[in-house]
Amino acid sequence: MTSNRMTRAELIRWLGDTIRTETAKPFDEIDYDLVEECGCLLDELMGKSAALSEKEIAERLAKILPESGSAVRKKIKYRKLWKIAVAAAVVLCMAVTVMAVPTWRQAILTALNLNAGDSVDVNGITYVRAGVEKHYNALNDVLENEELDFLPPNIQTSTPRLERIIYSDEIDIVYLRFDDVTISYEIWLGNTDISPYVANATEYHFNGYTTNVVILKTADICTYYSYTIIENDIHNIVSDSLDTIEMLINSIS
Amino acid sequence: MKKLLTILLCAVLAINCSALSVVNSKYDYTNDNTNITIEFASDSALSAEKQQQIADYMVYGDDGASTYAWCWLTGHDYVYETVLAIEHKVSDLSPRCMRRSYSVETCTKCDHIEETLISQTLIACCPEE
Repeated sequence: MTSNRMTRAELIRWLGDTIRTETAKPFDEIDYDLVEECGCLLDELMGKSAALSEKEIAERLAKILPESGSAVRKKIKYRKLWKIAVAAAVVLCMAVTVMAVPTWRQAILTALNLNAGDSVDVNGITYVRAGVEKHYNALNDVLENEELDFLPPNIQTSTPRLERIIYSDEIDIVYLRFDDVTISYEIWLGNTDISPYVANATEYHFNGYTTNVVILKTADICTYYSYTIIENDIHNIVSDSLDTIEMLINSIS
Repeated sequence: MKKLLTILLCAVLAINCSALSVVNSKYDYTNDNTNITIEFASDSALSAEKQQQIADYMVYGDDGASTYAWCWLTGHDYVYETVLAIEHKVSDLSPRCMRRSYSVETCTKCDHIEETLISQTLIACCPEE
């Protein structure tokens, strides 16, 4: 079928059929440019038929027919792709700009729940060394597998619960982190020089160990800083409660 | 003989350079009220420039500008280190200085830094006056 063999009525019918066939396709397969071209030509043929000459009709039809108007169709397709590329570039720039602003970034990550923070193993202990995390079921597994040599607190109560052990080998300190973040627990490995901490400290005896406690008052809060030699290490426990320090040292066995 | 001298000279220079890099792992910040030292491990994997950037971040906070977004698209290259922030003379009596230990996560490709406080204690650093 070519343009010069179709009557005006056949052309109108053919355009109608083309639109109907195209719009019957799934949403993402519809060629909207084709539908638009057909619609415009149909509109002009039916509404202002006198204004279009046979030559003009033939030219317009050539744009639509696949065998003769492929170049124009391709141009339309490329134009569509170009628009998509520009839109994608704009969206990308906007995303980069938004993510570059820390406040916005934080808000987005919070909204997407991507800033869940440190992973917490509710049934075990996370061991961290040089940024590498390992998960263990129990404290003894950590000590055996990581060849750590210190006497740890062995808490029988549900709180505070030991969550993480962080070993900084460059400064020989083991940090114990509990679910109660007001407690700081450091073990200074291979350090037994407690003399700088004795002068202004109050001496307590817990679980057979001598604990030197320094109190620091800031505003209305008293914070207890304790230093205890246990085997070859100093256990440094900081808490707002002396009872907590006593409980932790009493659990060491 | 000349070769031997050259090798010895190179060895001395190398030792000096490594010694300088170790010394440069402490960064001091002083203003009217506070004196803070940011301390990195002597064998820190971070460059001096990165250490300075982290130290500035820990003392002054986030300056708002960031190249984070590019790594958000291409992926970060994270390095984790324990960094100590020592605030001097917070107490009149010994132990006087507050040492806070942070787990610092930083990206080698961008300026992303995230610090997590893991512990804080008083240490015997500055003498009583």
